[in-house]
Amino acid sequence: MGPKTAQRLALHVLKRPETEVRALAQALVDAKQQVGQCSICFHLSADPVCDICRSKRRENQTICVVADSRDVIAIERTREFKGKYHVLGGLISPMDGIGPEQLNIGQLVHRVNKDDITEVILAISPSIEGDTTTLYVGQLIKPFTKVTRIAFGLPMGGDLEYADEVTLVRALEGRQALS
Amino acid sequence: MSRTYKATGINLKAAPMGETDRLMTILTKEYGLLRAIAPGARKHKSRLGGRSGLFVVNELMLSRGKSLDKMIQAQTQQSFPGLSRDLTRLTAGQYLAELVLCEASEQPQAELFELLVAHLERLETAPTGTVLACLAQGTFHILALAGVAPELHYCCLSRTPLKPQLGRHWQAGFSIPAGGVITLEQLERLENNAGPTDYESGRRKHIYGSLITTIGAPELALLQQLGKAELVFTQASSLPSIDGVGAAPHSLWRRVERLLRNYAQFHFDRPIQSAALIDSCFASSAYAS
Repeated sequence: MGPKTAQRLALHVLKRPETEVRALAQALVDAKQQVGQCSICFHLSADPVCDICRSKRRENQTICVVADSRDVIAIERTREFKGKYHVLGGLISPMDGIGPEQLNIGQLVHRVNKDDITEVILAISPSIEGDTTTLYVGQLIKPFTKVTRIAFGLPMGGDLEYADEVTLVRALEGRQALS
Repeated sequence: MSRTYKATGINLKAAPMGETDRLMTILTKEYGLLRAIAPGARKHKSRLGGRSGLFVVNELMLSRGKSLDKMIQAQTQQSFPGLSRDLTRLTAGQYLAELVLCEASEQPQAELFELLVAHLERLETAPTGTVLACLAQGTFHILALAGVAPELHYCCLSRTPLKPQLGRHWQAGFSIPAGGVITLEQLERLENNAGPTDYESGRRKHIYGSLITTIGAPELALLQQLGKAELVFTQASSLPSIDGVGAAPHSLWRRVERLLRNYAQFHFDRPIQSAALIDSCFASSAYAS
């Protein structure tokens, strides 16, 4: 948040009645105290097991692996994915000293090994750290189940003419046969 | 005076900044290491998105700012998509980038830039099984450019020439503080004269691994090859053979890489963070031998 947005919010709070401000403050404290991590997928949850993991309408055999809870929220907005998630809690970044042991990778391997999982989808951003994480996790899970990764390339509505070279290379590499 | 300037650089580090920006650390030929903001680079439709990725070489147009410069335009010259297909190559690339970050300054760095690009190209195209050798050579060349490469042909203390005798139980010493290889006699002298370890050297030994160790003839032979412009591999066996040394198992290259790593950490006075993942990658069964 930039200083101008922060100032705008602060002035807005000062203008509201005291009861509303107290309610907001209490809500923030409650969120901090109650929201933790799901013990299965590590997504944010107020309960020990999150709604997605508890849901009986979702497929138990497919796991979508993401770096962060924000990615779960982004994928849920599509309403297309009906499986379950696993939040790694970050990306492997060797240059910053963030190794696999600091992420929820061991728990994912255990989950895949223990449950009857037919596909693991790696939905991790295309960057050097993202690719490192994808390759590392893929290597660990491949012996147990089918591993796929989401496609990369041009965004919807984007013009080919304006795409950068690196994105175009990725798009060409990830080309698919017309069905 | 114009506030804009041009540079050719390779992205070595990127960190999110603000809502959609990216803070870049770029090694440029003209200005050495510089930090600049890539505005809006994290937006999906940003033209800087892909160009602000790591290991992308760009022709840049930058604008000077109060504290940080701003990337205005970027035209990609080269990227290394082959690195992203293999974990060992990708990790080795990050290892070299970290070494370059240790060495680079804010002075023109054309040689370091060219060296890094050349070694990333080698890593990208290296035959499977030779990645560790390429990494060791890249490390050696970066150390050499910094002027701190270990002496590998003469004893650092007595200046006696050292020629490894392959096929026999031949050994030499490797002393990081002395600056490279030493004869066994000098090694014994060092060990006999060693007094109680003081706190500082004890701490350095703890952080950077063994400061003085023994090496065998194959290790020294491999080390002596690293100064060459290119390593020539022949695929006579399942393992890459190297001129004059024969098939060197990965365990031997791992020892060579470890020696150079400890040496680099000592001379740059900081641990190489990427090394942990290198160990993890090359300890896997595919590389164990």
